[in-house]
Amino acid sequence: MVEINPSQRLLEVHLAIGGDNLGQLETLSQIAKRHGAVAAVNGGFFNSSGGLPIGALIKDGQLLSTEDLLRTAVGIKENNQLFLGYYDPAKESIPNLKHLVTAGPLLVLEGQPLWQGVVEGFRGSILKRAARTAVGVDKQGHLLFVVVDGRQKDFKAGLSLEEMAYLMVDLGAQSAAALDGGGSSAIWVKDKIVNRPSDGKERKIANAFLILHQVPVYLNEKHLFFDAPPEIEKGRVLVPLRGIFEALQAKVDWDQSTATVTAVLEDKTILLTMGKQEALINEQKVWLDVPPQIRAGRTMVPLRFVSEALGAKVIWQNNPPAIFINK
Amino acid sequence: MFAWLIQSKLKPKQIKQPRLEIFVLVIFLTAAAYLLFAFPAIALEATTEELVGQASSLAIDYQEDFKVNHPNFFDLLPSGNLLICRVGYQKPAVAEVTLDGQEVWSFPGVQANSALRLANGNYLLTDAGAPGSPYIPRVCEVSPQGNMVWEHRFSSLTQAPRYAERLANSHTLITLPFKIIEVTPDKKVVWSYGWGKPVPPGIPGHLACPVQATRLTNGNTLVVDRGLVGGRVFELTPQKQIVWQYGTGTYPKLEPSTQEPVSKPGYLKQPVYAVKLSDGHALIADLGTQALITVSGTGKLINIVSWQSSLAALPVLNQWWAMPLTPEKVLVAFTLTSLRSRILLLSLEK
Repeated sequence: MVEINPSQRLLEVHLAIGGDNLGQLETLSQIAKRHGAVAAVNGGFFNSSGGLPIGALIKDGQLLSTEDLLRTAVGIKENNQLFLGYYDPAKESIPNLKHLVTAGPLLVLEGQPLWQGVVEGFRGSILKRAARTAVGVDKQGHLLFVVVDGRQKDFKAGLSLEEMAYLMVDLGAQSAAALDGGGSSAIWVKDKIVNRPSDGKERKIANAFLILHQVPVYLNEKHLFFDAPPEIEKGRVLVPLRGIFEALQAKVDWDQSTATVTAVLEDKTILLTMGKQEALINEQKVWLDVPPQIRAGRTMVPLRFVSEALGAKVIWQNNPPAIFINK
Repeated sequence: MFAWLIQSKLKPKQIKQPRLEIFVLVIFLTAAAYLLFAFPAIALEATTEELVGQASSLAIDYQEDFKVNHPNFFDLLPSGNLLICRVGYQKPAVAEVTLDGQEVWSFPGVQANSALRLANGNYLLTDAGAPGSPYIPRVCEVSPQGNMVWEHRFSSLTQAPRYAERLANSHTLITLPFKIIEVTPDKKVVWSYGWGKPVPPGIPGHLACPVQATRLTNGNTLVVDRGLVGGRVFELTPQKQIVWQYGTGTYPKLEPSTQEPVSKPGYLKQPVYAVKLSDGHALIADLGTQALITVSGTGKLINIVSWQSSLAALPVLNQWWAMPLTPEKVLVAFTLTSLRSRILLLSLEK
């Protein structure tokens, strides 16, 4: 289980799509790593053959898929507030809604377990004990992401939807809903899957809810994600080398023997050496406040220096913290 | 046939009286049927023959064409039609259908947990209220023309009603998730049982998952608590004392070798419906073990018959509801792996 305080500084609950394209599938680990997440769980139901979501899907305020199913939707509003309920995108809009998937059933309301699975049209083995994923909110407003293992002989049988509702109540949920379950149920925390998926390995899924704890970086208004979250040192933001250079469309070359990286974009050539505050732009020496460095196996470079050296403009926003790169 | 023979042998002047007799007989039988089926408080204490009349000899195999919803509940009407609660992720409705599939009445847009036809010809529905418009859990009486005659709305899905019946005193007995209430036509609660929220087993008024409460002619209430890990059926006095109970609210673990549902004497796995007969016995449909159980008026086991083998040859995906007609006949609603649903009358051997 992952419990988060949605008002925590720099925290963001984000919906990510497999391969960043509807219809593509990825494992939860792959999706989480690509975004530099600190935690993640699987998202809504999807068609396993085509990978398309079952029901509606909204990402970053954009309606990407619509199908009016009389099922509970799980949404994330501004300030990481949880929305649970029926939503017909063709008929209504929810203020400040950022992300949404059709999921269900609704498990908990007003701190009480519900029995809605049958009327939400669930049937077959979904109604039996299985691995489950659910999201809820407790009295303090904390979000609870819960995964239960199941259908593994000599390990865990799993829970029925009703039992899952009671579990969420026991965990303090005032309201809660189920996400996709069974072999899709997975939870990823700090670089690894911490449950035992019932397929025996991670299933490729269509979407996932990610917990991000990072300064958001936007390039030409598009949210940029790195495989390691941006870090702040002495007021400077460090980002993974390959991610930022590739986003800026520079060609990157790494020399292991000298721990030197060379980036080339049009008429600009930048040379950075790990641990050194001195850099070269077209062979001109430039002094860095913070040197490039290797952190937890990742080569991190100062974002402002790299971006500006390649001709981009960088704007720091204080509240809420964010970096905007315009090129 | 019999009426035709009478008419054909009578002279014109003599025809009037027999016709009147037949007319009176039809009226009487219709009224009796309504009493039996539309007022369960009366009907549920009848002999088997009185209870189901000719229905026990009917061959019922109703097949739904719909794949987007499933029969959550049904009632067998005196006409032989079925009143079906279709719930699901699209096009939920309550519909009255003939056994050959003709829809003679429907009320769309409700996720109904139960529906009964009243003596006045109206329909009493319990709408779970979600999801979908108007997402209001309610009990409503709807006319055959589809007009809302009476409606009792609940403020939250935590009170989504599961069953309701109209009593002889015109009150309505409503089964809620953790409470049973009797309300007057102006919606005043005049009797209730349960806490309205989960409380531990053993506490008076504990209800885990009640699915049916029906008022008996002695003033007591027959309650079916489907339970979470095993169910029970019990009879309550107006003073909320349990007269008898069958089932413990728990269920023994299944044998790992079989994992097949097996009815265990003294236990109910997932009871969904009970009916009390005039001889004092009660019939219980236990969906969890696919068994029809007869218990005495003191809650002692009389007989268990299973319908498990009757459906074994069919690719059943889910069984939704079962309604005993006699100690050996049961109507079962289920969905096949093709996603089509059926309501089938099963004759069981002792």
